Amino acid sequence: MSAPNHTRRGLAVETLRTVFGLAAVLAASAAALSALDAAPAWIVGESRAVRRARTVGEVERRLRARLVLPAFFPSTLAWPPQHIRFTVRAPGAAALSIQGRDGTPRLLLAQTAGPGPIPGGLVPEAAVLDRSTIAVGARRGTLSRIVEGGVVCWELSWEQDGRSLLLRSRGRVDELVRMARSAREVP
Amino acid sequence: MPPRNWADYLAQSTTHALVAALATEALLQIWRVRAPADRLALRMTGLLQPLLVTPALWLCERRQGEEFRDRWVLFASRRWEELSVAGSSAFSVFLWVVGALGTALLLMDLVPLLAGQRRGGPAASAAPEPLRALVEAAAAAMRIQSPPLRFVETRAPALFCQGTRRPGLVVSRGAYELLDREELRAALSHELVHVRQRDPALSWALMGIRACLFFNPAVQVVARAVARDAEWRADECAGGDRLALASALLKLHRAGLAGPGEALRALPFAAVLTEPMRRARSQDVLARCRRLMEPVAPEAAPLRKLRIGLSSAAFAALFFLVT
Repeated sequence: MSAPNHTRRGLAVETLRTVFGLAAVLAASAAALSALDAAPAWIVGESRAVRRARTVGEVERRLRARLVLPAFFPSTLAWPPQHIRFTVRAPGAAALSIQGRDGTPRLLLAQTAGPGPIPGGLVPEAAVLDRSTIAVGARRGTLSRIVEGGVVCWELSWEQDGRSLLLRSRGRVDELVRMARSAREVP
Repeated sequence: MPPRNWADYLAQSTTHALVAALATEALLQIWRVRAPADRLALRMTGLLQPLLVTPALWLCERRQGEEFRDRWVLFASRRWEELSVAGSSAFSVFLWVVGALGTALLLMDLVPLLAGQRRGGPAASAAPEPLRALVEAAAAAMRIQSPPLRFVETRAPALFCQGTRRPGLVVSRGAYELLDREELRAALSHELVHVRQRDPALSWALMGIRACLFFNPAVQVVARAVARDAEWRADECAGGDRLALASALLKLHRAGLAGPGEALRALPFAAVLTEPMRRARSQDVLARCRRLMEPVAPEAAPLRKLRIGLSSAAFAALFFLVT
């Protein structure tokens, strides 16, 4: 009578080994895959939620939304943008970093694809020096003087067609306001 | 929804195969699977994932959206596109490197195989009566029909099984004269196990899978491991005198080493290519002999079907989240 009991016990042990062994291997695989997924963002020093695109067309395709771009573009700025970063979590947002023709960072254009604030990971932190309200076409915007990385910049934020937009420039304030007033969806 | 493209498919197939291969090896260790037939079955489970599961997942619309990738996916190979390596994206570099490696691994086996098929073998002659009697006795002991026997008049030692529809044995005069009666009986029993299991068909199926997934180095390596499992399974199932089989293996291997390699060594750099392969083959023969020196074959693992079913389902579920 002892042999079948032993076999049954052995089978129970093997069943446990099967289930827990598989669970352990799956957990280890999932952990390793997650670490590999996070590695590129970690190497370039970005948040994991932030992704990079090569062209404006690519980011529009991946967000499934047209970007709002300024029709007025000063000749001192270089096109295309040096970096295009975006997040896909609702409402979806993109940030275009634009250099001057001399190769220095000059402008940041950030926007959401729908109602909601612009995610913090897309816009570098800055200290606000002063703030005022300004008309951006028929809408009201907030013009701020800020310090980003030890440099004083102008920042203009407003809402347009249910989206949040932000322009941050190291150039002249009149150019910044003119760009904001000319911003529209590119057909 | 982003368009599907082949680069994404290649990356997914390669990642799935690599994860399946590593996870299968870990499971073989944790579940203490030692019997070659069980190892072969589990490795085939991993090998079939990139062949069957990856294309099915590729067609699944739900996995294509950015939102899905952002929220649910454990690993997206496209993430590595954001990292540059020597002016190219790490994603492209990865695809080129694994593609080249996979193709090289396939060609290393396929080119000699096709060259051998093209050359054909020496003409067959009538098999000696003692050899014929040995084959018939071994087949009767295994309760299978005696397979066709092809005896070739060449000094090179050759003893193998071939043919997909009706597998048969090929024995050369070199092998017949090299092995004593017990060794010959053991080696023929080993080959008859291949006949019974239809291993030549398995071998061609594996080559077909390798050719379909030529870009995938993990598939190339696992397919080789499956072929080795089939050899080990034939060793274990041959029955009879295990030491005689080990002795036959060593004799045939040593005789094979002393053969055509001498001519190759005269070529520049030939040793660089041939020596590592010879060493690997020698290591494999040694491992087989070491297993055959154990008095009994390892026991079959319990819960084989449950383990295969569970691991297949678990891999498919995991790969749903790997794009």
